[in-house]
This record gives sequence, C-alpha cells and structure tokens, in this order.
Amino acid sequence: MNERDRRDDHSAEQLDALADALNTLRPIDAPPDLMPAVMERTFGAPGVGARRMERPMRGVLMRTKVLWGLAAAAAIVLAVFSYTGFPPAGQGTEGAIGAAKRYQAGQIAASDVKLGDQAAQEFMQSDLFDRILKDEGLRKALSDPALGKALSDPALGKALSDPAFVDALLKGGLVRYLSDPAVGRALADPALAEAFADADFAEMLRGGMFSLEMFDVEMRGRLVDAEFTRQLNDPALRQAIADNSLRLALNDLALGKQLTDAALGKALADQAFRSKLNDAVFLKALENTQLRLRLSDATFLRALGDPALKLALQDPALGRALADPQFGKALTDPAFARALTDSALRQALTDAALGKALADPAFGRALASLDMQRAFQNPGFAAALRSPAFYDTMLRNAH
Amino acid sequence: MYLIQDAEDEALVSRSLAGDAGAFEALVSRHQRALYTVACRMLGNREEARDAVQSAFIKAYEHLGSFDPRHRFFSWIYRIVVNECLNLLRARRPIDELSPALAAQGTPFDVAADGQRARQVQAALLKLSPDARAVVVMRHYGELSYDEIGVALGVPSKTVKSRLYDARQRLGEMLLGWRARS
Repeated sequence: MNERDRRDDHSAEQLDALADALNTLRPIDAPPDLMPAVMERTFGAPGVGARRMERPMRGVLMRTKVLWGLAAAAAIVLAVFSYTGFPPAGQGTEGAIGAAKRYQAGQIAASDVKLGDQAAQEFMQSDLFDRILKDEGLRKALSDPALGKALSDPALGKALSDPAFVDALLKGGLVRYLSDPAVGRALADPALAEAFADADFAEMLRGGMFSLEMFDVEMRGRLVDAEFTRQLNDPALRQAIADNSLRLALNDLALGKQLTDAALGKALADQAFRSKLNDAVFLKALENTQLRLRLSDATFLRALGDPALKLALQDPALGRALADPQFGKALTDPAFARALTDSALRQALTDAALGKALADPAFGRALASLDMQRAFQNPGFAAALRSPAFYDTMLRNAH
Repeated sequence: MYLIQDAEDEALVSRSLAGDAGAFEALVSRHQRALYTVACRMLGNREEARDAVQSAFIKAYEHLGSFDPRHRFFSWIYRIVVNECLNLLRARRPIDELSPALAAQGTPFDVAADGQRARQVQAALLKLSPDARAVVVMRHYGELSYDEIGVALGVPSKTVKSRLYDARQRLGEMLLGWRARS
C-alpha cells in the first residue's frame, strides 16, 4: 500500500489487510492471440517482430516454465509429428525419445514439416510453437514413456492425420491455454499422461471433444481435479467414451458442457453410472438439468439401474419434478421403480395433466408415501392410472 | 525501474510513430499482461476483457500522435483500457451488472490459483459501482497516482480520494468484516 494512502481515514493495518486481500487476485497472462489480433488490425499483419523483441525485454517471463496441459499435449503431439514425420520412425517410446533428442540438437527447419495442412504450417511458424520447442518441460515430457507411447499410438496418429481434427485443434482456440497454470497442472498429473497413452482416449480426441468450447473454463477447472483425471483413466469410462453414441453426444455442445458439471463428475465415480454411458437413451436423459442434480445421490444412481425409470426420465415433466427432493426420493424407492415398469404409468407420466401435477411439491410428497408405493403394486391401481380424473383427484387430496 | 521502462516506452512510441510495426508490437507485448489483468478485474469476464484491451491498443495506435511524451505511456494506455471497460459496463443491462452469477464467477485463473478467497475478492470488486471499481483497480493494481486516475476518469484528485475511501470501506466491509460507517 502506498505511503500516501496511509494518510486517509483508514488505519495502516486496515489498508495493509485490504491490500493483502486484493493481492489474492494475481496478474493474468493475456491470451496469446491478443497481440496478433492487435497487429492485424493496426498493421494488417499478425506481426513477426514481437517474438524477436519480446525475449530480452521480458526475460523473466520468458524464462518462466511454459505450462501446458491437455490441449498443449495435443499441440505438442502435432508438433512432434510435424517434425519427425508421421508415422513415427520407432515403436514404443523410442520414437518420442528420439524426437526429443533431435529437438535438443535444435535442427528444426521448415523442410522438416511433413504435414501438408496449411493450418499446421501456420502453427509451426507461430510464436507458440517456438515456445513449445524451447521449453525444458517439453523435452522432459517427450522422454516420458507414457507420452512416448501415446505418440507412437496408431489411433492418436490417425487422429492427428485427420485434417478435420488438426483444424479443430488449431482453430478451436485450444492452443491459447498453453500458459494457463491450471492446464499445466492437469498435464503434470501422471494419471492424465497415462490416459493419453490409451487408444480409447486417443479416439476421444479424434471424436472432437477438445474442439469444443467446453474445454474453456469449466473443463480446465475439472482437469485440476485429481479425482476427475483418475476417472478419465478408468478403462470402463474410456471404453464408454470410445462409444460412438457418447462421442456423438460429446460433440453436442450442451451435453459436452454437462460433463463438467460437478454432480456429473461425482457420478462418474460410480461404476453403475459409467456402465450406462453407452446407452443413447440415458445420454439423452442426461440433458435434463434436474436429473444431473440428482446424480450426486448414490441411492438415486443405484435406482437408475431400472430400464423403465431410465426411459421415464426422458420425460420433461418428470425431469422437472425431480427438482422436488421428496419426489426425487420417491424415485429411488424400489417399489416406485417397479411401478414404472407398468406401461400405463409410463404413458401416464407423459400426460400433460400429470405433468402439471408433478410440478406440485405436495403431489410429489404424496407419491413418496408408503401407502402410495404399496398401491403401485396393485393391478387395479395401475388401471386407475389410465384415468385423467385420477390425477385431478389425487392433486386435490394432496392439499 | 519506472524511469527505465518509461524511457524504453518513449523510444518505442517514437519508433512506432515512424512506422516501425515491431516497436508497436513490443509496446503491446510489454503492457498487455497488466492491461488484461486490469480489464479482467474491471469486467469479471475474460472475453470482454480481451475485447477491451484489443480495442484499447488499436485506439492507442490510432491516436499515438496525440500522446504527450511528458506523461507515462503506461498511464495513458491504462486510461484508455479503463475507459473501454467503463463503456462496456455502461452498455451492460443493469441486470447483468448485478448478476450474482457473474459476481461469483471470477476468472478461471483466479479459481485455479487462489481458490475461494480469490473468488470472494473478485466478487466483491464486481459489487462495487464501475467508477468505484475503476478507482480501486487503477490505484491498487495499476499503481497510478491520484492525479493520473483523476485525468483518466475526468474528475479532480479530491474526488478520486473520496471515491477510493468509499470503495475501500465497502471492500473492507465485504471482505474483512469492517464495521459500516455512517
């Protein structure tokens, strides 16, 4: 706090305490594309001089270890393949270590670039690419067996040879996050590095997951969550992710963002839940916000094992009703789940009248009662469910 | 240190005025981090902050000829950025300004680096009026003098001091449990 500030009415201790609080907000690196955008607008070209001039002026900053993460790794893989050619010369880890050694010799030249894609060429000429190649962390990572394995993985190589993927990688804004510490910490997680070595994970890359904006704020937040990275490394999850339906779902921005939902993240730890990720019907149901909120409830997750319930959950009215904890509790009851195997009830659940009733908390509480659950097992009661008048009566009685 | 930086800035401004793109690029490079930080603190939104800083640099280039070398380039460009931010904030609907979601959002960098406390501080900043926030941000993060802040906001230094006092008091109440003053 400036001395001059000490002269106002706040005490020095108060001002110091406030300064400490304000200092918890740290400086933020400007996005890498800011300067090129400014230069483009002012001089009609993204600029080339800054790289040359920036280093001596910002020596400390430039010596700061470049932090890199999930997107960064993909960019590095691209860079390495660009440098070494594709496929890599060696099998297993040899190719990657060889690449690292060759890099250390500092012999990279434009002629080394094997990818014909114009976007890749532009990337190779970027300041970002230069930073990657000059970074000590990169050299260390390239000698890492897990990443080496990933580099030599045919599936990942296939993904990288896919112009659409490369285009998404370069144009999706992913490379902007190279200097984000959160991303850096994420890649430092051995579990994530191991995940990269997995063919299914590579398939996920190919599926376009990381070309989505979901990678922006929320996803990076999740990546620093050790539990999430462990989950990513779970073979069952990766197998699920490799599934076409899930990959298609991931390409849907709305659902992609949902995967970063905290409740959903917790649910991913549940084996039963993960086993459902291959189910297109269930994935559709996941679009319901209320359902995702309920996913943090272990009992509810177990109840999801019932196919009828899963199907019923697609109904928007039922999804809305889940906002009421009492009704949600009723859904976790085996008797109620069994009742849902009755097609009449399921059909009734889509009825507009019931939909209206379900939005009433008192109705939800009534459904959760023991008497009602016993009634669900009565065939006569099931027949009654077909009558719209039933809902009106029940709604009146609930109040 | 400021003197050295100012001399370098001055040289870069002169070269930029002579049409040296590399010199202007260096100016952007030197100050973009500080200015982007300020814009993030002012706006609480990364994309808007990027737009504000980009727009400020472009305006700075367009009006570089009017820059008075007797003043610091940093305070000049800082003023442009803060005014860009204030314009964006004024353009927001009132509901956006008061949105609890926005106030609690902070930036991803804050979340990663300092966790809950950083979010609280960013949220408290966003609860201040734009003018009060500007004063705090310029004073605390930009280390601008009262006079420089006054010039930036078009108000007398006395007003800057008064606003700063009020803003600090509110922040203290929100973050440190200071007793409200009547």
